Amino acid sequence: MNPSPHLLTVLIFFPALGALALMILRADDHIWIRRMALVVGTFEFLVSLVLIPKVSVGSSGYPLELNIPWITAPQIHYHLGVDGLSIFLVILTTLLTPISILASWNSIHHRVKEFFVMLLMLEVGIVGVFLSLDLFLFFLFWEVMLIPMAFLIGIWGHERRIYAAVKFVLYTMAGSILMLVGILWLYNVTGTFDLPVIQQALTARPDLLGATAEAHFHTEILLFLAFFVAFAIKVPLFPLHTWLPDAHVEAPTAGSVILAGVLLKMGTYGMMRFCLPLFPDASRKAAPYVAALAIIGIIYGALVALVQPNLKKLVAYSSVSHLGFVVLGIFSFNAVAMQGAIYQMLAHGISTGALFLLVGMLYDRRHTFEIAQYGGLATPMPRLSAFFLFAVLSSLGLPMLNGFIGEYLILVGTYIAHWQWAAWAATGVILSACYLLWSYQRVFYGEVTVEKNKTLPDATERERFILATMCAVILWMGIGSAFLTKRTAEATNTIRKQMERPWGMETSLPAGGHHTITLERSSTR
Amino acid sequence: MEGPTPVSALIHAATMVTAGVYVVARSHILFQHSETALVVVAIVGCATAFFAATIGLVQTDIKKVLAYSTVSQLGYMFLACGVGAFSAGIFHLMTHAFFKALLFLAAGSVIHAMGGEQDMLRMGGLRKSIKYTFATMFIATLAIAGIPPLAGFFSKDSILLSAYSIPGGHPLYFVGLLTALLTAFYMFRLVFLTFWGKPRYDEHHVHVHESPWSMLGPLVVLAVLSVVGGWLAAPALWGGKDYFTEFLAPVFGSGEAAGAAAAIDEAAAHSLEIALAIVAVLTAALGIAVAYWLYLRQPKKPAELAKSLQPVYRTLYNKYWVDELYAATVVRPLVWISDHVLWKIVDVEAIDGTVNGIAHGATAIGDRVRHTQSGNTRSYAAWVVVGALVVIVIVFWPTLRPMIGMVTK
Amino acid sequence: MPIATPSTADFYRVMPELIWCGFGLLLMLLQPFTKNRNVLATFAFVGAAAGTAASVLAYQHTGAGFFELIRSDAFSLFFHLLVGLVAVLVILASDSYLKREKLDSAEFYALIFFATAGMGVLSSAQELLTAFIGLEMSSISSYILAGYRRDTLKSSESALKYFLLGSFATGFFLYGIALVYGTTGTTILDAMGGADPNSVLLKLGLALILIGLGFKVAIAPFQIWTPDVYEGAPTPVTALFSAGPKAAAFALLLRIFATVPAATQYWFWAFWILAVVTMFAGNLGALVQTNVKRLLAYSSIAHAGYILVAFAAVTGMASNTTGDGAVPAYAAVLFYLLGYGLVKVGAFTIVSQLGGKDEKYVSLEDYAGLSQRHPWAAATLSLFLLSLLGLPVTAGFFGKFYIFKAAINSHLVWLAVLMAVNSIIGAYYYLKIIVAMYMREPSEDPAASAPVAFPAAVSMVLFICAAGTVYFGLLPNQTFRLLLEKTLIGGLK
Repeated sequence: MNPSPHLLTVLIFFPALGALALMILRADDHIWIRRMALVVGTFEFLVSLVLIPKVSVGSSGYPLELNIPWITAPQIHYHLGVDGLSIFLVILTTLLTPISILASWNSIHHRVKEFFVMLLMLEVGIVGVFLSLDLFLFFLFWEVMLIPMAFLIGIWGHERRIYAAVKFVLYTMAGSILMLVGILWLYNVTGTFDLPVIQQALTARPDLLGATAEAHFHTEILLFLAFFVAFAIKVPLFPLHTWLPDAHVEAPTAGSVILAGVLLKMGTYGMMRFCLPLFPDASRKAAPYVAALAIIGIIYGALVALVQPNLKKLVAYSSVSHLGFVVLGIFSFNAVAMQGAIYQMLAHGISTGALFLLVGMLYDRRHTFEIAQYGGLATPMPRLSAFFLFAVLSSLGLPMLNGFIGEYLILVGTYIAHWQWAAWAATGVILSACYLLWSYQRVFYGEVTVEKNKTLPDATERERFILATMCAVILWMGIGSAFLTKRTAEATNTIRKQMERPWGMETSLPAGGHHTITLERSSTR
Repeated sequence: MEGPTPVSALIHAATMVTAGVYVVARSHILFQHSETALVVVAIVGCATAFFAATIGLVQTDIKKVLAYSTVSQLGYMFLACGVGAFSAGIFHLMTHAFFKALLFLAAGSVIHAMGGEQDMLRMGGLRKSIKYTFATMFIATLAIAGIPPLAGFFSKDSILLSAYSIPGGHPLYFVGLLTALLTAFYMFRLVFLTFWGKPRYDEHHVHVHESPWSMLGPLVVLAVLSVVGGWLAAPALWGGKDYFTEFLAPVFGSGEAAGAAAAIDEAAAHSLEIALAIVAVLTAALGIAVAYWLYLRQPKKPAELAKSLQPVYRTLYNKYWVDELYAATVVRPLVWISDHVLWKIVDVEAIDGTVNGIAHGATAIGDRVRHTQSGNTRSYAAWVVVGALVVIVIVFWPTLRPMIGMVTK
Repeated sequence: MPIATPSTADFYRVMPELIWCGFGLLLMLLQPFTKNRNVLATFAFVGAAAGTAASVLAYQHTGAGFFELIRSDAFSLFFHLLVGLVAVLVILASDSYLKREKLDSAEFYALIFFATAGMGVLSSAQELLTAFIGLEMSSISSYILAGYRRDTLKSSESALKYFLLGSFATGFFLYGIALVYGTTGTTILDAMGGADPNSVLLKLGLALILIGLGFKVAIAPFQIWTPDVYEGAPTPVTALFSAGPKAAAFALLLRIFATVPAATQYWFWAFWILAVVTMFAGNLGALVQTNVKRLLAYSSIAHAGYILVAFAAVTGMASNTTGDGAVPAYAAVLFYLLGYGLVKVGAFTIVSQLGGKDEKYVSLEDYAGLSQRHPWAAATLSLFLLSLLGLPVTAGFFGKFYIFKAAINSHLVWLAVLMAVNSIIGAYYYLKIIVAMYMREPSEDPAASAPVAFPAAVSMVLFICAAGTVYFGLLPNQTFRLLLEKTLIGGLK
């Protein structure tokens, strides 16, 4: 089957069509609203699977690309493309959306239509971000994604939802507006918004950013920061992470799943797609600081998660910790670590998505996230406990489950690049076992301490279906990881190749691991 | 040890706890490159064996005794690796698996028979009521004590020989021997307390019954293995081949055998081996004898000893307070710092406080700006004039600047 | 010496103004004869539409008219269409308001016509005194319109303040004209090309003209009248204020700065500082507002600041590089005014409908839960607010984008960053309204949450504004290219 490039447009806008169709339904026809949303989501997922054969093993560049001029003044193209880096993120999105729809089946009771419309519009924005190859288009989808998420949190969230929603929007927007300045600067310098063209221009003519090597470097650092800060807020990287616990805790289950599962990955995706290839010298210069922040995030996130009395906040901080690994992997510039970073992005999406689904199921029953309100739940709810344990083990990186592959690759790759970084990061693995297992024990093991918990219903058929799907994916990713890594390998290689540039600060790594920095001017200029 | 006994039997006897020994043995090439590493492993192993044995002396929960006995035997395995006798360590791992699993399962059978009771002080005289359990457990106890020709004898002996044979290994040997004494002692203490003597439980409330054959079957199998398991290495004792070491030779090479035996030549090595074996058996016998005397002959003596050696007894009973030490030095500080410093101060007040502070700051400034709108038209007109002046000054700045410079000079 | 008479073409060139004034007079004459509001409204609508259409007719006769007093070109066409469209929309929207508040229709429409005519003159004025006439026409009509609700204190206060301060500013404007005439010997813009840019009097004169126009446009610190006047005036009038006079005054400013080369050289820092102060004054002031009309007034101030960034870019460019880069910056201003005008008219229309009798319900609490009471109104208002915020897929986004681009093209990175920061601050209060509408529950008071009628005319206005916002947000290309080529390259120079 040879999918046409227009498949990409379909992928992006089909949920929007679905949302429109939903608008037609009667507002109180909850059953059909849910059904239609689920159908749209599932169909979108199946369509996204069609992309996989196109991004075959060893294919470089963008196997599926669509490039249509859109606006002439300034030159903006409707340029979409998928490669090893983005394909699985897209599929992650399209997988998590119908699952979140299914998870919200009985939890949303007011303004049901708007809820599912927002979910679908959110999907539009996210898929658009991952598929955009034009900087302007990327920014457009990035911003578009903000409003549905804000609404999801603000309308259907919990007690402090408005504070959390506004904080989320303003915080993220602050970063992205600075990114816009950077994008425009790049446009000013290269004359285009098109990512591959900019990449080529910057490689072919390093003097575009500055006449001398110093001026070039100076500009590159500023541009790098403009993009990096926006992505760092999204990841979130310590210390720009404080919007996350609030947003997660206050969001409805579906919102949290998408937020943790996919939205956070937009930040790390951006780092790999833009910061590294476009600004390699600045990335290299910033790498020690970024790594330090990432490692702090890993350990700090884990320690703060350890002492949370609120289960959902615990999982939120665990995201901070896990994504610290991803950022560390990316900024070690090592092929193995970057592969691990991509893998961890996907793995974390599923594991933490599963955790949020499970926490949401607990909330559906008891309307609280406080750990103290639970305890001994394995007795009334053995099935749910089993699924929860599975998700917990996957999150802490048990081998044979998906978390292990990502963490392991990152640690190995980082070790090759900087063994000290890997040493510090590895403590995070221990700590994540600490807080995850301790919280699991407090919630599920032991005696049932609160009377109400004794009669809680176990996982329903719908819940079991969702969780079984997630666990199956977890297991598959843990065992059959080669399927994914083989397809992402080319993308990481391309990024690393793009990081080599004339007028670059070349870092050579002799056996001792020290860096020698030389400024080289390519003689053909 | 809090888990169910079958679980303990599996993971604490054979599989989980031995993972460490396996890793050390498997990476023996790395270890053999560093003399220091091997010395550390040997000393740690020896110390572990000894200290765990001391703890086992005074425990009253039947499973706890077995647990610390496991730790002690693992110490032996590490000692073996540390002195270069890797296949001896693995051999002991194998034999230990047999008798320790048997001990745990049998203990489970005893607990099952007692209706859930785990405290040995509330048992006694069970050898008549649960014969099969008793028989198998007794066999395992003999094995762990190192009585020939059961499995434990061959493996422990092999380790002690290697310890004795390496340069500077004598201290290790003697501590290992002492530990063997202690091992025999506390294991027989366990057996005597549990199966001998008068029943110390209320026979009306506890109905002791033998376990079904589904539980006894495995015990018998393991008992057989505990008897014959060591015979793989046995022939070495009378100059034959050590089949087990030969089996592992492709992994460990004959190097380690060379290392251990290189110090002494063949004949002397053989007589040394016999001599050490006899010493080991005698030591074990001594341990059994002491246990017999203390728990069967003079049942009141242990309590008196405990009272007169209170501090020692308490230290041993509380397992040297290691758990409490960890909790106090690692766990509680970490949790406290994470809670009060990292979370409440850094995250909530500092970082989030800054974020919210910016928002409040903006609103505060906005409030001040708002107050310029006084509603008073005259002040508005004044603002217009001010603005006009500002614009004019800006526009004329290039000409004004030197003038100001001149004025201020 | 033969007496110069205006040619027929000249009359074509002022056809829109003639039609508007004509209809204004007609309505005033009609007033004693008919009390039927619908008749008057229809007349007004026809007149406004006709005048707007007539701008195309005027465009057929490009060139200077009335002895170089006015110029008809693509630039003036654009602004005539813009103010005409605003007039049409306001007339359509105000019908139900007038009925509700029981205000006199005929004079209202007449004043709107006169104001629009004045704005039209302002945008095609080639000569400073003509500009002054246009300015005064639109201003005086505005003063009266501001005070149209005679029996409310707020309205009268608004009118009086506007009048007093407006006259004050106009004084500056006139003085500036006098000084400019004094140095250049002429008031015709085209003829000032050879003026000595370093002349002190010329600079002072232009500064004073800027101050006078700055007042109209609500640049800080001359923006001080805006919140009070916008709040007090009848809401459809506020809609007119926020879109029309701003556009016309900016048109004149553009013309001056494009045709009088002396103007551009010294103005960079003035525009830079004014832009920053205006943006912050507007955005920070809006943060704490609870009255929606006042909030939108402060937002107008902020947007004037954004437009000034483009001016700074132009003047920055003039001192940095060769002048060709100025055109996209000007085009950005025009595009911005177009999108902004539509959005503001739409937003104020919704506010006026929801305000209720005597404009009682204009505070933020009254908007709580609006999405449940009037989902379409809430959605449309959200669209407008998001456009003001600058969210993609709205006209406001591209408007801001083009201005950002112009700033970065002139290497004004700091200014761009400050504009970005202001966008974030702005985002907060726009979000506040959206949050109130969607995430809060409606008030318990039955009077406050009573359903509000949206008559057909009003809905049509909202539809046009919303459609325009989305259209310019998705397909700005055509329009922007037109602006680039026709109005500026062909028009101004």
